[in-house]
Amino acid sequence: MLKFIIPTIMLMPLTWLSKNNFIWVNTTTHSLLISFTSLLLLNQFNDNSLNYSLTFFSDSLSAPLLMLTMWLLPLTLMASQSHLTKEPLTRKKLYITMLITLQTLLIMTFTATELIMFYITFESTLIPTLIIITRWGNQPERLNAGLYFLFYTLMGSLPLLVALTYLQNTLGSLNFLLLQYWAQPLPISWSNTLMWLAYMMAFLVKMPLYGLHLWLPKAHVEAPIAGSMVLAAVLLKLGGYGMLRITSILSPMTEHMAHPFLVLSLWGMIMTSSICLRQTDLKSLIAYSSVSHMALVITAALIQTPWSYMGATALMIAHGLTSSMLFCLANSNYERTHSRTMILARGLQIFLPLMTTWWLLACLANLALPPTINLIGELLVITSTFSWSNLTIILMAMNILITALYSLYMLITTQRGKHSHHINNLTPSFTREHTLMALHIIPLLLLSLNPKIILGFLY
Amino acid sequence: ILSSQHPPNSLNTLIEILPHFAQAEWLAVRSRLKREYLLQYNDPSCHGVMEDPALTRWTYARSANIYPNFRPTPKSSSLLGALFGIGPVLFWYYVFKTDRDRKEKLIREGKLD
Repeated sequence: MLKFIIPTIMLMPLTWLSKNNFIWVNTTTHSLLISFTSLLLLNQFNDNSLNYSLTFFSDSLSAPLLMLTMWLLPLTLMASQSHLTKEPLTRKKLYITMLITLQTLLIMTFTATELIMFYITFESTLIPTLIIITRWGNQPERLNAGLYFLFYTLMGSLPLLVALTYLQNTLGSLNFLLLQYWAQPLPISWSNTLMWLAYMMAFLVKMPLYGLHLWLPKAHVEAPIAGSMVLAAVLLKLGGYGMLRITSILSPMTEHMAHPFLVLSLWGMIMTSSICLRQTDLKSLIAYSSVSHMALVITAALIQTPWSYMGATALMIAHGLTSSMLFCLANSNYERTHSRTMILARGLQIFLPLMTTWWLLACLANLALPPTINLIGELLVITSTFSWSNLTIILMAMNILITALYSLYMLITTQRGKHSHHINNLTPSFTREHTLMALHIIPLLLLSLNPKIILGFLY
Repeated sequence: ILSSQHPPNSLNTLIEILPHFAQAEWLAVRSRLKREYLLQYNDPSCHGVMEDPALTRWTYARSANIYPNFRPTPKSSSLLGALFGIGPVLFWYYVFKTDRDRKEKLIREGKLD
């Protein structure tokens, strides 16, 4: 694992010591090379994990997420080039340093063996993200957004620290690989109920669960593009990853405790999808769509069947790539019109036809078109919730319908129809933007050829 | 029009008593706005989207500056909140709980596979 962490840390001296014209080229190229080394992780065993040392391991659940994280760093660097052109040099390098710090912490989170190390790096990812949102966001609401983001997530995860120290005291070690074999069935009692809540709250706030999702639209909308991309694609998946890991030691209590959260996420799925239909702000629409997709992952993680775990991991990877691509597309609109209002930049197919291709592919992936991995994830989740209880099919079907509605609404408003008359002086698309979109959609389409690498450890 | 349902205030009375005066005011405002728009539209050195302050106010009223522009009434907040926020959650909780308990009982008795 040091073969990923040390090069990523070394990207920091690379940014500070590069020549002025070369910081973007150097960092993007080197982070792309590092992401290619992550392909070594494709050698996954089904049940066993690849143990690099006493402190790091990767298995079929963390490997795809790790590959996603490392793939995303060059993409975020490419996306941030344009809005940072006017900044002084030191601030540009600071921004890149924040992204690299975030990347290192994320790599360590996804590969941590010891659960306390997982917790520490999980919390530390909040700090670079907070700095990126509050320092480089564009509207004065970013301060409020940073506050909501930091304190919601912090308050949710403090009980997790208490629960982990309790577990360390009772079991002696928090090494995750040993924990899987030492875990005993939890009897149902009030204190165990509180402990279950303590474990799960951190991840439920991070996912986010419907009732605790207020931080997400604010943080996603106010963050600059790299912040939005990393937030949507990776940070939400930290919650999903944590839930999928921690439920293995919490059974069988989950069957009784999970009902309120299952209902909240099932109903929240429909509520947030419906809110998307009424949004005027493009980034806000994509943020609410993230909540809706993650509610599916929460449902799948709480049901704890093999198919639902496969669906959850597939959905996480698929949503990471799709949502990040949608934010990049929204950012390409924002850079031209300096406004996030959808109706300001409508009918763009006439002006930017190649960008329309990317919009089409992203919206089709978002509505889970076959044969993308979005569909595979959703299908597995829907069939497993159907077997859990037949009536969930009503809610799931309504969600698919509304998801299709708002994805097509987003596509048609931004691309089709009569353009507003004053946007005939838009700058044409840059090759960098096309590369960015292509690098998002090509892994997504290639994964539909071999989805078993993202189906997690129960395949 | 001057009925008990519309308590008279100064603006109401003016528009009713002097309709042509209000129309002329509106015409002046609209022609000023249109002139500013056409100046920007035909200006070759104007680069980018022309800003519409009314649109900016509208988006802020919808997203960030809600409180001055929205008054929560019992119908809009309590009824809607109960109907869409609390009611369905409780309803689906009981639905799924009973369905799941029924299934668990059948599984324990061996009648379901």
